[in-house]
Amino acid sequence: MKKLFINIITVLILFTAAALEQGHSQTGKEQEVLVPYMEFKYLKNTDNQRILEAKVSLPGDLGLEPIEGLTVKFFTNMDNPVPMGEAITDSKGIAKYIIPDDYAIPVDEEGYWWFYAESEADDKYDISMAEVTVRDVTLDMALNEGEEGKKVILKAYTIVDGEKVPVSDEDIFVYVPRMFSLLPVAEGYFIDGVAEVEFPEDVPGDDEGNITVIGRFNDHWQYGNVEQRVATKWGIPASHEVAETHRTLWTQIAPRWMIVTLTIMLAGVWGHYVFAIISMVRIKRTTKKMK
Amino acid sequence: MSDHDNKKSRRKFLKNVGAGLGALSLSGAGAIAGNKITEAPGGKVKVLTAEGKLVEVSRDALKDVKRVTNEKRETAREGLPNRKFIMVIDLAKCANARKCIDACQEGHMLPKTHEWIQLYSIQEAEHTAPYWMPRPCFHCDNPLCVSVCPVGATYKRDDGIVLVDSNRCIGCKFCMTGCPYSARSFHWKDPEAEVPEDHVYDPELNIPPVEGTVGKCVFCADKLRNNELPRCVSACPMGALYFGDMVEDAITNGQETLRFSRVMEEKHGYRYMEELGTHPSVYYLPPVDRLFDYDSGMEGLSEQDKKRYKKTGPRGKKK
Amino acid sequence: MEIRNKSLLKDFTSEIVTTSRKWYLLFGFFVIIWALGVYALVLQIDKGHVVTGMRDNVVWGVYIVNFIFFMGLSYAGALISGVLHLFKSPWRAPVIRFAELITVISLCVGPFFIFFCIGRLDRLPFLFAYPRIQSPITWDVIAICTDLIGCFIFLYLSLIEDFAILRDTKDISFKPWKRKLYEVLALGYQGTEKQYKLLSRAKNIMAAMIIAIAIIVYSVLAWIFGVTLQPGWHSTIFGPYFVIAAVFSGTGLLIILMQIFRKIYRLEKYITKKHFVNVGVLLLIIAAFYGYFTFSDYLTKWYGSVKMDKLLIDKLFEDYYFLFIFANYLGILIPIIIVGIPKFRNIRNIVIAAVIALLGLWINRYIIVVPTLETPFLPIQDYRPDFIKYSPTWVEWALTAAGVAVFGIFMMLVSKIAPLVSISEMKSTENNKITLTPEV
Repeated sequence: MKKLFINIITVLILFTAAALEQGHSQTGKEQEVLVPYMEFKYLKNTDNQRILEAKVSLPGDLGLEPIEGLTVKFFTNMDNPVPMGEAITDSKGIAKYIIPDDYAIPVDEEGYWWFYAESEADDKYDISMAEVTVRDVTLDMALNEGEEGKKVILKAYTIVDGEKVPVSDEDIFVYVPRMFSLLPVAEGYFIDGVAEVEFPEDVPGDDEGNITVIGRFNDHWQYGNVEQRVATKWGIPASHEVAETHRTLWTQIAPRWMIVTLTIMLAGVWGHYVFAIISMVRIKRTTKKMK
Repeated sequence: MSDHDNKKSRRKFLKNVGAGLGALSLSGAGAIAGNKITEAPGGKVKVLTAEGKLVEVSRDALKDVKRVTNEKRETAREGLPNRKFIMVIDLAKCANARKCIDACQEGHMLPKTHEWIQLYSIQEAEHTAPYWMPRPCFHCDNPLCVSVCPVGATYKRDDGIVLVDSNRCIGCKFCMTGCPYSARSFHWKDPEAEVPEDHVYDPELNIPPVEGTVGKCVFCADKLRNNELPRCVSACPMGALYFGDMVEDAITNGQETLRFSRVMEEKHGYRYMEELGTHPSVYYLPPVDRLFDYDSGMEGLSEQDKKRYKKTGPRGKKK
Repeated sequence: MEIRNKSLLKDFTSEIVTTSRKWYLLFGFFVIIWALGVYALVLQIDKGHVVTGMRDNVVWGVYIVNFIFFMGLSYAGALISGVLHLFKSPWRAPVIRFAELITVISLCVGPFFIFFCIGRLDRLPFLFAYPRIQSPITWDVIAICTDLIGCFIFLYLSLIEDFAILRDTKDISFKPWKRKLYEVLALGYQGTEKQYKLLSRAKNIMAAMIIAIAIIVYSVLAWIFGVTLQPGWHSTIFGPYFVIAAVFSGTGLLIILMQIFRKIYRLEKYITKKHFVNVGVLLLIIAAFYGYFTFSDYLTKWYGSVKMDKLLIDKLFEDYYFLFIFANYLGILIPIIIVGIPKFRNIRNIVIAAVIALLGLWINRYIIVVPTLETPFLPIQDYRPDFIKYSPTWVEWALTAAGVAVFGIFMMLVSKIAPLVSISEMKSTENNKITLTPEV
């Protein structure tokens, strides 16, 4: 298959050509231009929006440092690139472009879409670019809770020559969203366009058990990122309870016994001090009386 | 007056002026990015702006007034709701690359001498194999450091994170003797961090470091508020550090996301020195099926760093 | 109040009336040392704690050793004076005032050493503004404040009679301001039966209180170490161990001060060999207890040989060998031998024993604090030698010397106002017809 040679679908690094670098030094810039690195992703989300996401960052000693404020241009149509639109990277280095619903994305002879992103150069950064090739897939997800447990039923098909072709022999994962990333909780396999995935019983949701179930082709070699989300109560209620009146050694408020002990001891000692001071006052008074 | 003296006296002056002084705006220069300030002769200072431009401004316009507002100090005492943060360190993946240390020091403007996360070479017994062990603060659930603090400068939040308020700490160092993991360090001299003038002190980031106070790993609580991973976790080139929320039962190293309970079960996770009863929030995965051999951790170390591990035998006993 | 024995009065008050050149010289010497300490402190505040030998790991050094040491002296003074008072020991009279003064003065000096340890002195008020009751430091702050006030009350109560005597003495010419001062401080005490009853009841109660507080307060100090998990500190025996050690050092200091002031004030008539032997026997008994506690603590650690305990004990016998031997063998055995064998029992030897005891105890404190901090659970892996091994700098020694100097300064100043031997106690001993046999 022709598309096999594009084995990395979502991530492509293209370093700047030496000629470009030369071009810059000829303009008299003493400062070395920095070569950014681009990650490029295609995502079809649960609302069937198609999103192109380019993340531009600078490889440094301590990993990738996102670059903010770069303009990224998006193109389609491999043979004769057509500009689609542009976006500016945010503080996380991400530029997002949502393809309008009515945009007719050109399809190549094998039924693939081609997207290309390029960040513009400025006096500090060189250009960076990446491309991605995907086949449009339609994913449906249904949740089924029966006697056999909780099942996620996923259906997927592609359209080839105007005909629905069910997806087969492909892996798919079921995820739940977590604080930093998506957590894969189950794995399924498509046969004749259907994958039945058993959802585990012990996945924590919020304090009421609410959880979002995501069926997703994640960085799939053919489909890119395609997901369906459904909110449900399939999680087990999980919460981190901290009683406000908690008293321990390390809390701000001391345990009761400590306060009681301290008070008793101090009251005892200071009571005796007061007695001694009263005695002194009385000594003074008796003298006055004598006079 | 040399530049050095000048800088010093400015700092002294600012110390005295204290918190009440409003920040002078630095017109045209924008926000000063980090500590990248260099002094040029003639009362001018070169400042790197947020846009990455190097501009020269007169020294008078530059006042590193450190504003201490209570707002952020108070929010920092409340943890993120319904979270219990944990770290999992896979000892099989650590190769003593020390990137976690660098990222931490850069992110917290620490002098190179302060390591909030340290890398130990551990050999439990004579005939057991040595391995590399990163040690951040364990953010114990029974934190002795917090128990012994006389002024409540160090505290444990509901989300499990133990922080230090550098503007409350009196520097008695009791917490340092209380911590059995040597996770805390003291600013024995002025850390000389140049802080952006509009910086507001926040214990979650703990910038600037303050002389005469105790500092330690904060689990990058500032990043967590934006759902971002701690600096050391993102910086580890081996993906040896995992971070996550115990309530959600998930941990991630930025590349893969795993269920915490499964990882503990499958790889037999443990906590360091469980017998001390401190209940750490940091778990270790034993160094089995290692990706790197121990000796590779010695390669590429500076002479200085090599010196650290010279005498190491079973838990520090001299060979 | 009049006193019949005029020579008694004259002997004890000579220093209040006249000031010798030697006094000024010694005072000046102490002031110079103190000034040096002030300079060191200013330097430490200006440059930061980096001027000390303390680093991460050994975060507490000589300062905390001095703190424990001075506080120990204070509590010992309180215990000794309280016990002597309550049990009405017949020989207590010339000794008791020294013990009381040791208590109060050490208590004034000691806390300064904890201040030197603190990184942000400007934030000391936070201890009262944001106290946490769970912290042993808060316990200590409360305890020291309570103790300080209690000891002042006790000292003052025991001085009232003397002030009254000094006020009523006609044949010694005090400066007018001093006489006025005595008049105020004497509270109009006339020695009537009612007043005497009031005073002695208050003294008895305060004596009992002070014994109790001294034990609790010093235990609290011991718990600062005991509550941590550090090997060598985390020990249930630390409370009583510290109390005994404190009394040991206090008794030693008492003997030394008795000898010093006996020479200066020519009190050979009143402070005799008998007193030295009596206090010496006290030292012997306490040395035995102290040795027993020390042995018990190290024996259990060594026998059980838990990894960390073993590392610590190995360190003590390797890096700290001579200090360990001096503090825990010689420092205990020599006083026992000197006082225990009647042949050796003379004033000079007893004073030597006391000096060894005092020195040994300071070193004992040092090897409790420092080696433990040099042996953390996780090995110290540092390229900086000063982070691995602690060695005190001149700043720390200067401040230590300043502490001793301030102790001397206070002692000398007090000697200008109040008699260093309790006249009233001596008088009552005379009235009770207990003969003082002057040593020839």
